[in-house]
Amino acid sequence: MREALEQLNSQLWIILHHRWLALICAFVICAAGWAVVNILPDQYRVEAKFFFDTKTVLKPLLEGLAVDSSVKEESISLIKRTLTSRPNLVKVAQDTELDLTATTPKETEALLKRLENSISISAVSDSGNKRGGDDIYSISYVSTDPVIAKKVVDSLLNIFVESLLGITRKDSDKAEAFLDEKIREYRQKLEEAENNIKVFKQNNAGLLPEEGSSFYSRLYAAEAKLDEAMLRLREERNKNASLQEQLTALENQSDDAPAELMVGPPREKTQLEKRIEAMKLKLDELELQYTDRHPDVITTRKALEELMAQQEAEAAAQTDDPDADSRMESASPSIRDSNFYQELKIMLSSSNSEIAAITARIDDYRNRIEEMKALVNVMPEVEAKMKSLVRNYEILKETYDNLVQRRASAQISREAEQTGSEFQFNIIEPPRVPLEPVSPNRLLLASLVLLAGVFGGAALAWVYEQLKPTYYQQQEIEEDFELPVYGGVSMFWSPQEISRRKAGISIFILLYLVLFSAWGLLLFHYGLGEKLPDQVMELLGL
Amino acid sequence: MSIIEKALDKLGSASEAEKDQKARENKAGREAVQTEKEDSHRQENVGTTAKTSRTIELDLKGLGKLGYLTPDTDNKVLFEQYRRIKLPVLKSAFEHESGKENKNIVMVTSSVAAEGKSFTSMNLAMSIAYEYNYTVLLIDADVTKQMSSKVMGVEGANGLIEYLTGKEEYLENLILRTNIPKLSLIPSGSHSDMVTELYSSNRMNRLIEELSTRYNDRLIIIDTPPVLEDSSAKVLTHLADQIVYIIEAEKTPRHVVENGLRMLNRKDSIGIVLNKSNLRHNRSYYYV
Repeated sequence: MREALEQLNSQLWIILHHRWLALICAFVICAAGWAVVNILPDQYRVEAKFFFDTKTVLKPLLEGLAVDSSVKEESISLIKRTLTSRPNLVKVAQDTELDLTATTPKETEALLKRLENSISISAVSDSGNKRGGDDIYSISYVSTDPVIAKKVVDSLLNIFVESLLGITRKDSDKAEAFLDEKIREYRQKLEEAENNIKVFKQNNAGLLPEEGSSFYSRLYAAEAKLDEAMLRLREERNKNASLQEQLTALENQSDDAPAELMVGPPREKTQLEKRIEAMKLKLDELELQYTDRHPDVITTRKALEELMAQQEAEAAAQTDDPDADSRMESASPSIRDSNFYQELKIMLSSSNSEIAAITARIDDYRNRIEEMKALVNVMPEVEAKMKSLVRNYEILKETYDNLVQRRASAQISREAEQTGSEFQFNIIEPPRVPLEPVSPNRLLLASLVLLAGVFGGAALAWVYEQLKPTYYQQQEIEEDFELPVYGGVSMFWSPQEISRRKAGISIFILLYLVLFSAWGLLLFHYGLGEKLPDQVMELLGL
Repeated sequence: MSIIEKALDKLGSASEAEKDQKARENKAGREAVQTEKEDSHRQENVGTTAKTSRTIELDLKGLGKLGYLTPDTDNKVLFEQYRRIKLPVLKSAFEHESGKENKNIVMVTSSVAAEGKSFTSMNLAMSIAYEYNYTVLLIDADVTKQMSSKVMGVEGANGLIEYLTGKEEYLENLILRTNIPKLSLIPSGSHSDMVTELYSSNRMNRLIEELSTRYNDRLIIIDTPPVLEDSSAKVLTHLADQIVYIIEAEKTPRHVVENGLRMLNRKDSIGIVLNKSNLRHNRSYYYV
């Protein structure tokens, strides 16, 4: 630390020793630098800010269908690429009549290059904006001529509006085309699915169930019908048997019993028989529904047995007569001719035919059930296939409907776009001719020149010393010549010398003050006076 | 007619005609030597012996104002600085192992003019004059500038050149005593174009030999011209036992010093003094 300070001190002393050189250098640098700063042309910057909604253009179309890509970065690079493309630059040059200044191809090239470099496009992050700073962009151009700069920005803005909106239009068209294609594709798929179903149905005609009934339910239904038919057959047989009995009995009676008797016993018998029949019917029904152990079934069966016993008893009573059969065979023609007998006969025959019909029906039912049972392995497969075909079809249809709907909404939004483009593009801050140049910052440059002068002078003094080194300290001599140094003697300053030296230093300081005052004057000349109050207020405000 | 001339007239009447005439020639119209009446008187008395030792009164106040070291100086720093310089000089002059001969011829020179040879010579002489054990004789060998002589106020007096050319035969006549008891001078004398040749002469050799050996406690300091500007200095380096080489701080460039030192053509018994130093650092160690 101490060594460093000593080193600094000695270096400072060296510089002070050559202070006049430093001063002259500072004057030269400042004079030249300030002259240059003064000559530097004013640069004017024209800026336009605009709102460009990249999302609303593309989003509704692709939402849910495609991943929401980073449209924004793409769009800013897109703007840059578009605007600084060569044809556009040429167009700008023509619009602003800058191309008239360039006569040779080389100059034109330089002009375009300059244009490209002076144009800057950026996204403005303006937090104060309600619509979100994301979509605000700025185009700016720097030129020595404010009017030209404005023209350039105007031209750029026009080109941008034309080209970029064209691009988004194209994009939205692309999206619609995409949708169209999808719709076409899905329609085709749908048709295919429909066709499949149709073919399948044709191939499996008869196997396919009617709406709402499966194979098994039909099988069960057929079986139930069979049961019913069987019941009917039993009933009919019972009826037939009873008719046969009556008829036989009548034939027997006709031999030894008067015809009047005929009316009573058969009626009594039929009553009992009817009850039995009814009971049987009931039992059948119950058996259909329940098992044999069901209480209803049991009680009904008991009741039936009692009735049957009664009937047997009665029958036994009647058949006490040993020659009943012979009586039957030998029925008198009178009985045979009686209406009742005839009626019974008719009923019997009709019952027989009924039995035959029912039997036929039962056979038919049986055949059918057997057929179905034979198909029991195939049918569910067919059904499942059918179901999957239908499901596939339904899914396709749903997507297709969705696509069609989306296309409709896209068309609507495009129409909305076309009717009012302000949804996507809006100039927030139009370009205007600036009054104040943005650069060069003469205040800063003049100050930098002063610094360069002061420090450059010091540096020159130091360099001068390095080029032509002299001795400030005894150690330096020892190091250089390896000779003993007996000692050092201080400079003796006579009073005249001291006063001369003082005068010299005063002049030196005075000249530096002159330099600094020149700098101050320059600053005021460059408008520090106007800017200073604002800055002071700013500082106070802070 | 100044006092000096009167004094010289008296001197002339007392000494030989030739010397008288020479003195007239050289000192006409100049005012430097302030010989005291007492001295002249004494000279008159011993004039016939031709071995007079004149005494001059140094203007110590004036010298002090010019920054020179004087017995009543206030400049403690300067005093201390020369104390430091004289110590190695005295040490190598008198404290040698062999004891054979003294190395008491000290030559003060520098690379170029105005680095402070005379200033250093005189101050060194003055500083040594404070010593109890040593006396000092200052010879102004810089004939061209005669700075020491001028400052001491003996410019134009008979000096080294007169002795070497033979115009002054007696060495004793050259040596001027001063009001500082242990300090005496030999002025440069009149200007000559043949200084280098004179310095190379046998007479010069003999003179130095004589001065060197006469007193064991006397240190002879020769104020010489700058080595790079005057060839006579180079001749003197062969005669000197020690060389005190002056470098002006902040001014003499390194290459100039290098050239000057190369001109000396020797490496032994050279001590360097950094003169006119301004850096506070160089002074800061003195306890004053």
